[in-house]
Amino acid sequence: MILELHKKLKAGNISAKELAEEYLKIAEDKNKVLNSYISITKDYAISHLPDKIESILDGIPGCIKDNINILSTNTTAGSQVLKEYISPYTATVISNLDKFTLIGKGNMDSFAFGSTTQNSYFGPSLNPHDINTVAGGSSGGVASAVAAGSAVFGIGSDTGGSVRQPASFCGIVGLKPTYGLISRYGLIAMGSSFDVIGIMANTVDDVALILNEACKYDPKDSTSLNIKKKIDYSKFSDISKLKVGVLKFNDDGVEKDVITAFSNSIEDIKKLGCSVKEVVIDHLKYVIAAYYILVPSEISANMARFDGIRFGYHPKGVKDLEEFYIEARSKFEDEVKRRILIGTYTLSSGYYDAYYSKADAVRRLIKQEFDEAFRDVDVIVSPTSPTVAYRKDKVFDNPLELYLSDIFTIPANLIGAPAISIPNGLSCDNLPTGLQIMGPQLSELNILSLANKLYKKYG
Amino acid sequence: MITQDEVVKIAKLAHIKLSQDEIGKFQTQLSEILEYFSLLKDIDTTSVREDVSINGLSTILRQDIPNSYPLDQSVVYSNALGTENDYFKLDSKVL
Repeated sequence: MILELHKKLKAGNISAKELAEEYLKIAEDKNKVLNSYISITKDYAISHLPDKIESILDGIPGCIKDNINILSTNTTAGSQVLKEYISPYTATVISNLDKFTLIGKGNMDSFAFGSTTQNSYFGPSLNPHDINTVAGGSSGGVASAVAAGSAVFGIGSDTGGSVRQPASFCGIVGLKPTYGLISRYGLIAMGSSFDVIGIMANTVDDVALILNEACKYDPKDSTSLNIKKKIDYSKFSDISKLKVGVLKFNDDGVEKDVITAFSNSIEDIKKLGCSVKEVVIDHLKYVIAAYYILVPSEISANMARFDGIRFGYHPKGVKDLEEFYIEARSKFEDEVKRRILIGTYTLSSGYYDAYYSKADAVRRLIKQEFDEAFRDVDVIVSPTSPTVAYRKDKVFDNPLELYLSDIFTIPANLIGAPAISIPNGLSCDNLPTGLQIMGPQLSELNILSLANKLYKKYG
Repeated sequence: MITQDEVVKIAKLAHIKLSQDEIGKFQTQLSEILEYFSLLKDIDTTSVREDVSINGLSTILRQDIPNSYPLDQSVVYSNALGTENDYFKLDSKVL
């Protein structure tokens, strides 16, 4: 889709301004129902149009998750605390995408804590496949925008599945690259040793084209990978010799339609000529416990910067500095408070070894086990999410219930590996299911190539 | 099960204000979550190598010289409550 649009723009069949206006109109119309965008950046889009079309993304309409800074735009991270915040600088990933057209900032769970967008201060984003269901999360607004056709592509962030799960729910493609492949400079931090910037689009080709532009070494992010050999991710490789591992998992809590769609995709993989074998990860049942100790620990440290002085909510009429801090942080949404409390507990004196150190050791154990598995197979496939999109009125009284649904996406974040979610057929209720393909670090070309062969477009 | 006093203590450490209802709610929720974490006690981690790097990165250092991409001071202050003489400024009553 991007390549076609690029050719039209280059040939002058349509101008960047006309394309921007077309997508801005769709965004404004659809946002009334879907709530994909926290802000639609019409003035910004029209005042930043490319003079001429050079790079592949020049003039291509995109939606950016609202935790990624773009100079002079409102960046809320889906939270009341930052509802007035204006970005003082631009994230590297945005600069790397040249003169794409910013349609708007995508809705998200507050500070990216959640998987429904119900935690957003601005209300949930709905799923274009069925507006009685949510778009998923935390990058749900971006997924909703791309699936609804108000943006050609989207940029999100993925700490435990926040790009892949909403991509699965909305029937689009979502890539979580290797940790460090795309600079995090300008992304509002959640769990710094897990966070990656991810890419969403309607096709695997489009995701690959965006990855080509997005992944440049950045000295502003000390964990940015400096890869000497430039890979063209849009030149897919031959996958007929690929060794595909099929993740063995417990069926409990995995919806029947998801299992059926997954089983069908294994047959499709065999038809491509790939060899298929089962992969058992003994420590799979521990990944959620390890993740939900380590990430809240990192969150509690990262969220300490919200002191109300430099940015965020500025309280008035308080008696001393202590009360100032407490009032400034009183505006955090429920899930933010919950994760800060968990992280403060697991890092506190007397509990640090039992929780944080233990989970960190388990993370390394899981990493070792996946490393061994990847000596035998090139990629590992699983469903992306155990369920299709949740009903928009579903209430999760027990937060643990929602945490457990991250079972398939979390491993890639724990081990810093790339994984992609692609549309994998519809459930009986016509809701999308997703197939996840995960590989060892820096195996993006393999997983994109297989994803491109398996990708099924919904009619 | 963690106690309400423990919830209050953690909240104080994190500078989070909780209502009485929230203390009760978080006591129940955090207890369930912490109980779930106890699953990890079953795993023997004594032989896990300390040098397994998750992301293939070792300590990243740079020369101790100013980098070439500082943000302008006025930009850094743009979301602040107030500034004076290149400092962040709070309401004088607070300090």
